Amino acid sequence: MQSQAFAIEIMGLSKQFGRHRAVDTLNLAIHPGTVFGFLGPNGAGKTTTIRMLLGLIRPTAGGGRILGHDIERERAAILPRVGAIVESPAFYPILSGRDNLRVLARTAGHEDAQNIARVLGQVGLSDRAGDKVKTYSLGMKQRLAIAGALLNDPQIIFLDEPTNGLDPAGTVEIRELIGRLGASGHTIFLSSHLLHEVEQVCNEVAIINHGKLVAQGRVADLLKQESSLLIEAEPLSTVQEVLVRFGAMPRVSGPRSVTVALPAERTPELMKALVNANVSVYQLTPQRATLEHLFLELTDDAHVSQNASGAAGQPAMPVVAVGERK
Amino acid sequence: MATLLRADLFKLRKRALGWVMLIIMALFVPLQMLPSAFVSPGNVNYGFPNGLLEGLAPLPFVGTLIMIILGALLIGSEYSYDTWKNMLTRRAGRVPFILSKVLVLVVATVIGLTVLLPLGQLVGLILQSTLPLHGPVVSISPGSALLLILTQALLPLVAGFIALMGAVIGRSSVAGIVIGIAWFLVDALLGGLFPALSLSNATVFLQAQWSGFTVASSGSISPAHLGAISGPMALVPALIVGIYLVVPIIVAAIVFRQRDMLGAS
Repeated sequence: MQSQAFAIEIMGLSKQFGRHRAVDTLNLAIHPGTVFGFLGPNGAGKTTTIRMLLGLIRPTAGGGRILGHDIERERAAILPRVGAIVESPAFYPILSGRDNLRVLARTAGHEDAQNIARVLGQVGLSDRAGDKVKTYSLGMKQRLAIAGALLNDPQIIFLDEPTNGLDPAGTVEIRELIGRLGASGHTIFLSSHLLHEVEQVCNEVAIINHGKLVAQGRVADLLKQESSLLIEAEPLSTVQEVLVRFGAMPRVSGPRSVTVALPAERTPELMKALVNANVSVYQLTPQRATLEHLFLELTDDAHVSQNASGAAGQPAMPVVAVGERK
Repeated sequence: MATLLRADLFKLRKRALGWVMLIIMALFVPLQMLPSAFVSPGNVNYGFPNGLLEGLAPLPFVGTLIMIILGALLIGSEYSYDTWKNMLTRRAGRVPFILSKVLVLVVATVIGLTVLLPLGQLVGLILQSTLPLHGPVVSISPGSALLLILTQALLPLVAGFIALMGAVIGRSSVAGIVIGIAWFLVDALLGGLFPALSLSNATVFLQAQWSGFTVASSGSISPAHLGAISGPMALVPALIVGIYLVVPIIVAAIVFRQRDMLGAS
């Protein structure tokens, strides 16, 4: 595998459709071998970003590099080394699964029956490979699409919502497959809104909303930053005063409880301050942050508008970026 | 490019519609020969090479319609199945995709001729041996016969190109079919109003000029009676044919190359 600083590098990538800005000055850098989760609500610009990276649509501004090659000018060097599922799986329904892969292989300029058999086996479709795709379930089509993406043994695999339509068993299978691909050194760019899946397989994530990047970093670091404490104590007004002195912003979550974002290492100090202020502490529980919580926090429009910057042209949300790679 | 063409031909071969269209076209060969044989046996002769050239009879109308449908479907089905995204993410250039579809139309035309010509001769020999047909035998050189065959295939081929271009512009098979049929009608209309601009007229002129024969819409071959056209004016039909062959492909390639592939809506 050729060594580059970044497998995927996106610099100020933007796409305007009429008056709608689908992707807005997006910047990302993904190291080789990363299983990268690309999160965002529906319509956030995930698929548009992938389509731009793969040359299906042209950026309005900005650009990017894949494996060191310019996404617009050097596609011939990029495409043989990437595999992709873009949005929903698309096949010729009158052809069998195997024949669809044969068409894809021929389109790419290489046909190898053994390779086709290998990828069909990899996604568990060997038994149904001869059946017409119109008889496949959505889950089987998803798996066939993944087989198609693996045909050229790519270095980078773009997977746009690959578990859509899969039953729980199929979802686990695909998750394991993604894990295996990541472990074998492939760079995976996984676009999804299934946060549980992403949390389990990805080691880095970016969250976009309304086409803008709102967070990027290692999953563990993002979640660590989002960890909070649940404090059950009385009187609540004194608790809030103490917390404000700590520079924290408490949120009342019950008649005698508040939740506050505070680094875990400051917990003993806080405990001491609460006791010194004659507060009766019943419970002080660390709350494990989830990607889902972070996602909702960052993509909730009401929340975003409250945090909107006054400066024109600035992102509505400050970008959360943690976990800088060494 | 060769593998791309193989992929497209593979899809065409697996598609039942392609075979159905070929069978429909083949059925028109005896359907167009039988009435003449029964109505005016004294004017008809289906011996060689008349019978062979009778196989061209379905091309101007049925063949043209079928090529319009095929040209539109080749492009439109990729849009309707949303399969462009699979193909364009496997190969850098976009123009080869259009050229591959164009070549599929050329191959389909060759396959059509390969079926129709022997079929015409076969049906002709059967009719010749069973009916008292004693019309004149056309005396035509192999080269002239080949020119007639090639020029007769121009109209359906160009119609297929125009439908293909229409499907690229309209991003659907329906758009391709509508634009193809509209062009077919306009060309027929041009034949009456501005004969020099009509592809049908240009084809007939070239047949007459190059082979000394023309093929009637019924498929029968007759010696041409050309007026005296010489000098630069004699080049106009060739120019018209050239424009019709090239312009739809160029337009389709340019539009396809520039276009964002947003996927099925």
